[in-house]
Amino acid sequence: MDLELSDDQRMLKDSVDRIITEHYDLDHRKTYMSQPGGWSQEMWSTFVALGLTMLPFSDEQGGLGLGGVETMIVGEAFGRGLVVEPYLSSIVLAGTAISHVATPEQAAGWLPGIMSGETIGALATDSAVIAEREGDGWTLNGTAHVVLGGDSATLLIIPTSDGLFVVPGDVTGLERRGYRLHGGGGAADVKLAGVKLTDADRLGGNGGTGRAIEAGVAWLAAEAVGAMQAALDLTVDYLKTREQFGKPIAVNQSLQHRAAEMLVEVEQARSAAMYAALLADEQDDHVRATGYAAIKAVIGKAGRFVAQYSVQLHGGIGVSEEHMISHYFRRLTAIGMVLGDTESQIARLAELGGFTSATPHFGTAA
Amino acid sequence: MDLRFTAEEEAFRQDVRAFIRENLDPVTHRKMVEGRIPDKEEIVAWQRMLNSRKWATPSWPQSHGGPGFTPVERYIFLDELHQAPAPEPVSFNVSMIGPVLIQYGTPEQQERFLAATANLDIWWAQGFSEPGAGSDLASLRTSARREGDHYVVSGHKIWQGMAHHADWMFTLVRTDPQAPKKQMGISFLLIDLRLPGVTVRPIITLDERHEVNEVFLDEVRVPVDCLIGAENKGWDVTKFLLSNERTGIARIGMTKHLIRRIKRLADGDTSILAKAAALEAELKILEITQLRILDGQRRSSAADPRSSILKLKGVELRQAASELLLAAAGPAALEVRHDDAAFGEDDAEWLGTIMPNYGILRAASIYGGSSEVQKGILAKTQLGL
Repeated sequence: MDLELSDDQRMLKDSVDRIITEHYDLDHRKTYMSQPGGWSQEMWSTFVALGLTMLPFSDEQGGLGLGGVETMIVGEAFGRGLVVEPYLSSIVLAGTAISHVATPEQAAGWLPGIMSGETIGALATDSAVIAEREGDGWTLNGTAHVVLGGDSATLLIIPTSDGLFVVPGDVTGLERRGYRLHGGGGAADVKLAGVKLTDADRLGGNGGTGRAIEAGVAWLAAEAVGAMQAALDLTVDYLKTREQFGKPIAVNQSLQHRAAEMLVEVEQARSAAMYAALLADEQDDHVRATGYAAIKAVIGKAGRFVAQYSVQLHGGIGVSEEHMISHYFRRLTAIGMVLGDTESQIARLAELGGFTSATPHFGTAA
Repeated sequence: MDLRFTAEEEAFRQDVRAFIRENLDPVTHRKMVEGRIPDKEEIVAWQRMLNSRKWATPSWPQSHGGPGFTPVERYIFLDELHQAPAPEPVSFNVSMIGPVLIQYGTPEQQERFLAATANLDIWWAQGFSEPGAGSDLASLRTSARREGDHYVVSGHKIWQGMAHHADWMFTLVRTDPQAPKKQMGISFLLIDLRLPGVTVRPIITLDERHEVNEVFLDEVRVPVDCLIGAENKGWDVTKFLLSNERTGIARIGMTKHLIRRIKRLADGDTSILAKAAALEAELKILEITQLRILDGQRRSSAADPRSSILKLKGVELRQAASELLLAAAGPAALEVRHDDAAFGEDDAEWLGTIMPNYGILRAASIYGGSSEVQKGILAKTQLGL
């Protein structure tokens, strides 16, 4: 057991933290969000130049071959900055799906563009698409909803009745309705009507979707920790500086206790994010499935608690669009809702039998 | 980063599990599984069995008869006891007065008490709280005045867990009522409960059990060699005692045991099972929090204020599990059945303890630093509020 960051990991954390501190305050973020697509090409290039977009991909695939902990470090910093560039959709979701199920030839075709930031990928996690064999090609028909990053994606990864397909954004027969999401970023509803593809576009089994969603949950957990910690820090600062009745409101025990309860939830979320980072290498499917269900369930619940009370403890200013707290509130709410909310994760965990069996730890010695 | 235990630590867990399975008396084990409180003789026998491997005193250093466990081994050991479930070594002895004797006792006091404390030849009671001194412990009023080679002690102590089994009580008394601060006039005394003037009276709790007591001290003459540390310096000893040994404070293994019972009683009820899964999700993550704090303890032996997180969340989940167990059992759990009732059929779940244990578990967020006190500690030490 060792839960400290390595020296290299600490360096990565320092450099990502610095970028966020210098380039991602609320005013910057507003500027980025006002650009076409709702995010900044310039910031995206900065992340590419830092190597962040290559981070989780293996050496053979041309990536940096780094693991869950490094991704967590980036996610936490992005959560604090409320980064709107499409890292989750393109690198984590689409990237993981491709890197897990693509043949080396397919990976060599798509991943370089993803890593260089020129291709923006998105994964349709909620889709109903039929793939039919026609001659030596495929025809896709169906729909996908709330495809994260789908509004600006140039490459869509679509799970179908017959495996995962990689669909160019400009292919004939594909219609998209893109929109902004509360909490930052965008998404699209996608309709495929007679989209013609070849075997080369087919990634094969749908297993990549599951692994991609797990990676997405790990990323969201890290992002949530960054946002929750930042929201708590702002709230504690506010309690110390805001005066009412001639005293800082921090003297009120009810507020101190609420802040302590928020801290407990932030630390639980931090544990969840660390567990998520380390679970990526787990080979046992059942252990991963139960683990990620628990992680996302806790992240959703803890995030909602911290979001709600950050606003409450800020008073009226907390519901203002201009205040950072309201942005954390919206992002944490969104994080809780995408890739399976707490209730559905709990249902899934129950279905999987949970962590503790009904049978005794051991029987009495006969 | 790595969350896994080493091969040696895993082997140690198996060793502990095998030891419990082979040596825990089946009647004691069954009582623990069913949530009944074992008898004094059963607890003593089990502690002596553990002590035969030096495991009765998991936090004591080897130089004083402890096993020399690492923080991780201590955690694994307690986790196996909690999950088995088996009685923990009596905490008043091994987690409270033992470390105090090791830290502050004279060689004579250590010689006189340590081995007997480990082996439960002496059963200790804790004499801290008073009717007017709960969370504000330093406001205690029990007085001790020096007369020759004795302190003459008078006062009223309350909430002495298992004091009806106890031989001795470690206690806080006021030796200098004129001290400028209330913390400065307190001394730490060991009192033989057989001395004239000591009366132990039961307090029956809402589970209809006799677990706690009040102790009346009426001009009790306590020899001065029973003073721990210096006169009027008892508050330092107390702070040491209270900050000491918080490993396993989350009681995760105990909550797992409750979840096992819930799943058996749920009988496929999906609403109960979903609630159990919600608890399990948080419990799983709390285990990671526990490991993070253990990892910190490997690097620094200083008391970690984040332990308050373990106490708060651990109690919250354990209380929620006991509440869910009550729901799973339904109204049949209301039938009053005391711990001394005969065992039922082998495969039947014993419902008799579910309501009493749900009730008495409310005390878990009151004793050992109430949840409100823990939140105060976190607000002050972690948030600077």
